[in-house]
Amino acid sequence: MKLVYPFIVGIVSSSIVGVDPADSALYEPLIENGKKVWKCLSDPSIVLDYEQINNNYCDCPDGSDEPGTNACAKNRKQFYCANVGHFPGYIEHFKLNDGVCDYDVCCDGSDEWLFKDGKQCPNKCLEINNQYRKYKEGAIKQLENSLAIKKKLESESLNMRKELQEGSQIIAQEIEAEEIRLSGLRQRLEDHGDNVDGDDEENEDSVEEGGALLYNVLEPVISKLSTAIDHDRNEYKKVHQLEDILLKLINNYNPNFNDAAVKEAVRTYQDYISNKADENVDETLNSQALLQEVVFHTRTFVEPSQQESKDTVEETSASYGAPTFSNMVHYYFELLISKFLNAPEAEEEGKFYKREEQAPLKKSSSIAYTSLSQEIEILEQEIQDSKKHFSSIEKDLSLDYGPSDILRAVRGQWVSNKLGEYNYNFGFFDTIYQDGNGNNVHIGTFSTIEDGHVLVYNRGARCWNGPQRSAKVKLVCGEEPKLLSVSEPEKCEYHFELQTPIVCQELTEEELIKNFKVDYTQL
Amino acid sequence: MQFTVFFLLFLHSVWGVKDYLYKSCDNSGFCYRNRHFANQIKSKDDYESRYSLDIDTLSVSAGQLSAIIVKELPNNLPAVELPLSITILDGGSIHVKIDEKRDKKSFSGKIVNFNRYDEASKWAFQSKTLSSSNSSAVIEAKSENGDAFYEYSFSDYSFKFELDPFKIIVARQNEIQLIVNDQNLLNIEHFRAKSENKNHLTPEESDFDSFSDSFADAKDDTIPIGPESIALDFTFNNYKYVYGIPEHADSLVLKDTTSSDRPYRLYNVDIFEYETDSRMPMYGAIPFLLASRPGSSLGLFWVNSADTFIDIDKTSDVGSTKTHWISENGILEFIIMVGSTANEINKKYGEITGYTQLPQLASLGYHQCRWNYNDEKDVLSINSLMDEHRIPYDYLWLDIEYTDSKKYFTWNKDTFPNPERMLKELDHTDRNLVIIIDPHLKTDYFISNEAINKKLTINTFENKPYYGHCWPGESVWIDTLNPSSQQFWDKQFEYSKRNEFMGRLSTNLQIWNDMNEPSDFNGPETSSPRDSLHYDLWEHRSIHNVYGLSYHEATYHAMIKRLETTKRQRPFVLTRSYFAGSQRTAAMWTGDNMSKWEYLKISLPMIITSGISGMPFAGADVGGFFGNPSKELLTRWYQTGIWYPFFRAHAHIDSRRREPWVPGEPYTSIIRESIQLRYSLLPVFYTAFYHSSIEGTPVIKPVFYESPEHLENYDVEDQFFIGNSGVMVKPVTEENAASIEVLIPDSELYYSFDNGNALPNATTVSGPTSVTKSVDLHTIPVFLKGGSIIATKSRHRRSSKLMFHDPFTLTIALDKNGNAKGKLYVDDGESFDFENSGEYLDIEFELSNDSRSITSRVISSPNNLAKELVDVVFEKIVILSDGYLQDYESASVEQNNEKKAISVTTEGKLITLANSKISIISDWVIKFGEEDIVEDIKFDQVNEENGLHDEL
Repeated sequence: MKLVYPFIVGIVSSSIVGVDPADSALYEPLIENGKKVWKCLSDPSIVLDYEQINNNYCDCPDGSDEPGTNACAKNRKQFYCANVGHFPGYIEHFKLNDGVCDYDVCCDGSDEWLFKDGKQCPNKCLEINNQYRKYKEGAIKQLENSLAIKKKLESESLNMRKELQEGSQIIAQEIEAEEIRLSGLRQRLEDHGDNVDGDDEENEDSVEEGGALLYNVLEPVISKLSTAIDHDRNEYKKVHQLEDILLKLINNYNPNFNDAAVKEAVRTYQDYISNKADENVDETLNSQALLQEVVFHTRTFVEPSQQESKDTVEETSASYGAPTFSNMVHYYFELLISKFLNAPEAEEEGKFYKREEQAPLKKSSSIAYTSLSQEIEILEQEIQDSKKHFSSIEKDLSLDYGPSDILRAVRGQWVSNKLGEYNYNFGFFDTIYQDGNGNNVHIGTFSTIEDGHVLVYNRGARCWNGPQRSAKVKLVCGEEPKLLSVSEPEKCEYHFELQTPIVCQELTEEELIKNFKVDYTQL
Repeated sequence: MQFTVFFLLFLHSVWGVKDYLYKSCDNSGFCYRNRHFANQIKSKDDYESRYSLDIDTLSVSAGQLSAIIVKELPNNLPAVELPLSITILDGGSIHVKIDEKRDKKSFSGKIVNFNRYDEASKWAFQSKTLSSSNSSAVIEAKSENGDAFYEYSFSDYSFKFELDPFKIIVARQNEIQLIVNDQNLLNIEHFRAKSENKNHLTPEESDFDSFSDSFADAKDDTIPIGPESIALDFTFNNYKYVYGIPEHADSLVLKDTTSSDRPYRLYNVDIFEYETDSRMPMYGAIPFLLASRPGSSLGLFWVNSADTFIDIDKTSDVGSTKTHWISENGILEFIIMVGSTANEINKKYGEITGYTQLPQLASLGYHQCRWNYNDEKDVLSINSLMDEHRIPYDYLWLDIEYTDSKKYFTWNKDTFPNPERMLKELDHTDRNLVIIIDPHLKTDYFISNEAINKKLTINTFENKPYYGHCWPGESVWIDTLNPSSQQFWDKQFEYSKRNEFMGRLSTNLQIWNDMNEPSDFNGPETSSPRDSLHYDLWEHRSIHNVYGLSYHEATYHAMIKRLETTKRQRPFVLTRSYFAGSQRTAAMWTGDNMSKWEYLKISLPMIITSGISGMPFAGADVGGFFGNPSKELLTRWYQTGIWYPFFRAHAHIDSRRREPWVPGEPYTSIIRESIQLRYSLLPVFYTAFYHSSIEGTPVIKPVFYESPEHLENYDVEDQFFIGNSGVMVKPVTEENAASIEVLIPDSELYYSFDNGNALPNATTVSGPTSVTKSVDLHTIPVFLKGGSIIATKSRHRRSSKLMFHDPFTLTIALDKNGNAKGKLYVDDGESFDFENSGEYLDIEFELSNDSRSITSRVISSPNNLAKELVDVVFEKIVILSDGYLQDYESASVEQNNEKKAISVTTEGKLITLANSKISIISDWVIKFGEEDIVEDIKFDQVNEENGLHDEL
């Protein structure tokens, strides 16, 4: 074993070790005072003996005098290995002359030219090139498959787009026709309305006894309701108690014991409580007070139509309808239910009146009148639906589905597989959720596409003591759709890599070389 | 809304150690009883000790005194005989043992070993017999005012042994340094039957929890022998500062504990989410205390492996420190060491317990760990990402998840289908893998079955295998106190094809021993029941604190056998639990810390304390184990962690990924530069370890060791030196720091060396003075003390081993007289050839202003190593002069009788000898201002002519 630092051999007659032949002109010696000299490339004021190139000591601030050693902390360019018989490679200087044969970059072993007299790493370009060719064959075959799938998806996408465009045209035409029909019907209703005016007597008759009767009718219901509410409140208290118990558990358990069941319970409870905390529980709500209110209102109930002029009733009923006995009860009932069961619609304004639109307006309305207005209503609804449909198609058409609209073809496709501890389910343009032991955690809902190959999902379930979950899904080329990796660089912000043929591209030789990994065991 | 508020309130009260899981003095029977005893005695002015030395039994021979100490009992009971021996050790240390004569008959019918446990020393001491070649040590009989006493003199010290009551008084030049049993707190609870207990109690004693344990999780303790505690007090006269007795998450200087029910406690436990500023027990225990002040130091080694409390009293006599040591059982054994400096005490302590192993060089590199790297692909991807991000590292770690169902000595075949291939790939760039092997063995698989069949497990008080719970669920524990366990353990680590688990794996595989307190999830205080039985029927309570050591030693010895025929001979074993002596075979880390600033801060006094206590190979989890550090905290932690002797980043399984590239810029670059700085300083660290391994110098050394003459330096715990290199560091551990206070500890010159960048202008003050230094996120405040010479390697490589042939840079920082000295230690970094055949390079540098020269002298004589190092040079010499060196316009170097000119460039007070290319393997001298050099001889030619290119 011979260990030499041959300081002078860094300059081999015509070329300088580590310099790309394209740059060889930069390393020509200059003759000054009969001596071969050379000047640092980015600072010509520093003049060196020509022998100082590659003498394993850093003289130039830009590192240009040491293209073949690791002497300089900074380097102009990476070390060039000729790799005759394969493809030239460029390697970082810190990998030079450290005794490691970095054949994946320098199959000729030239990166170790100074180590053990350059004998550390024999030239393996022949073997490696063979490996590479085999690899390339396989890779290209795989890529061709992927590209074929991609092509199919592309044409599907284009067809889908075309169909959508056609569909939207048809709908637009339909809407036009329906609107014409609607205006005709409205005209008829107006004409008819003049005739039925003044037909309200029956209506007046139907409301006789007022509040007292209403209360009598409702009293058993209200009392049952009161009992039911009490019962629910007790149940809710128990939920609170259980939440307290679990909160103590998650605050005090020993995560170091890493009991899978405990951890799972803790994690899901954290999710539960974190997302529950978002809901606004209105503390001013008091069910007993509300019941009192119901009792009060039913006792003092006065038929609105008794007080109001017929004109106003008419006006109201045309657009909204007046509060009647039955819908009044219905309203309070709804309110109670919604408040106590926490249905989100509870907050919506005008619930009472909206519901009226679906209820029969007036018992006294003539059949013709009713059917006409019903027809109008139906038609209005249809037009509204069509418009909605139309705008959703238009919106969809304007969305970014990547080049050639390719992502359109995978819309609705789901990919599920396990990464580490959890199984992840990914829906293109849908949602991502993670499941483990039957508990699903919503990671996010599709929001936008970034740079044509990153799908952004957000507004997922809130994290314990943190933000709502979100994810960025980077699409990478591969034949089978598959989630490759997941990481969480920021709290509850996930980064996925998803393999799919839709982002596959033809590969250049350089890319193939970059992706190729030398099998050292075969050398 | 109401609900939200309520639940946030809860959030803020979370995290904190579960105090109630661990005994305080008040609910620990033996501690309570001894504190009670102490209070009773202190409150009586006329107390007469029951312990006296029976002069009729006394015999003195060279270096040895033996006698019976008699303990008088009440109620006319016969006195208890307590055999005493005092041995004079080399260096004037004294070794004291007090045992109890017990009647074997009274133990009939009991399974348990009836002796007091006397084998803590067997585990702690380096060799069975302590070196007392000083057999000429004379112990003289004397008397004073009619009282007989014995005295031994060593140098200017005198040790006076008083008989009634028994006391030892250590004085130096007639000034009292230490009094043993000063307060008459000597107490040895002798054996008595439960039925006779009342009769045996003296009025000063309490019988609290003498035969039962009222502590919640310990009620099942059968306490078969009853009360058998030992206690003694030591007064350190005129010593304000005492140190040591790790492991505690506490200040460097030990605090007064007299008003707390939690004195310093040594009981190895898997403490969950430990708190800072706490005297609670932790994973390791070293019952060694250092007292130090300008001019004098003392060491006390309490050789006991049972549960121990130490009360520190700094208030009853301000300026002095009184200590009260209380152990649950065992013999009473201690060693006193004297010396002028703290380092002398470390040297003497190391002669007894052994010095730190000289670790593999690679283990001083960066360790990347997390619970867990999921699979082979994950491991290899981390490996290549390190290169992509230009981050050097040497070790990648696998926590418990690599196993099949937490069964040690198995691989999870789904996630690690081919460990052989994985290790080979890591080996390609000389990286290593550490896997965890814990002492709990899951029941019902081949390893635990064999351990049970061979009767190698820890047993119950009925001497049947003890079943507890740990990671794998139900488990048994290997009893490594049993000598037969070694053979069983060796087999599992064997480097041979018949070893399915690791027999074929390459030698870049090392071991992590965790949970060896031992941690038992359903045992009292999360550990083994105290009445469990070990080899020789010793109770667990007697051996508790050495169990961890016995376990990691078994691993070390198994690894020694595995590796002995290979090139990488030095095992690297990391242990969580440890005892005095663990430094011989393992590194430690401070366990499960948290991602919070206070844990970053406390890591420094904890690691410095470990070094003071003879266990310098120590570190804390960079980034904090539990939780997620902010980017700033992570960055500051790296900037601090690069100075830990053991430098490892680790994270809990539930924390997010935080490898150096995760935080992004500017953090990633700052972290990269920090780690690269550590690598460039590896020669400095390795040299410091070498000195630690031969003389006990802490690797990160307290400021008062370097400048012992100023009392102001004695409580500095956030600033330190790297060995004797002169490199002084004050890491930034404050959030949003814009400036920090640095203590310049003496009047020497201190050159700025921030982030490893040397500046030639020095700071100088007249005595210990704080200076304010502005810092930003990049700043790692470092100084180089005037008078030092350090050797570094500045070129980035992928791992430490790949730096082997890279050249050194010498940085010379001149002192006020224009002189400097330094050292460099080099060897192959992995074999035992340095020990077995002198294959190491020990170099001394000196710059002398008088002779205007720099000399390098090799004071060792390596053979093969010199051939390996033939191409390694000092490529550059940088002199920080602060104006003290004159006439340096030209210089020449002479080596192997060849002389050549060296170019000298100066920029202000910075002098650079560029491209010097001086071989490191032989002596050389550089002379300044010599003009008579004609020829510029190429150095490789010089080497050629000297025959250094011979075939190996």
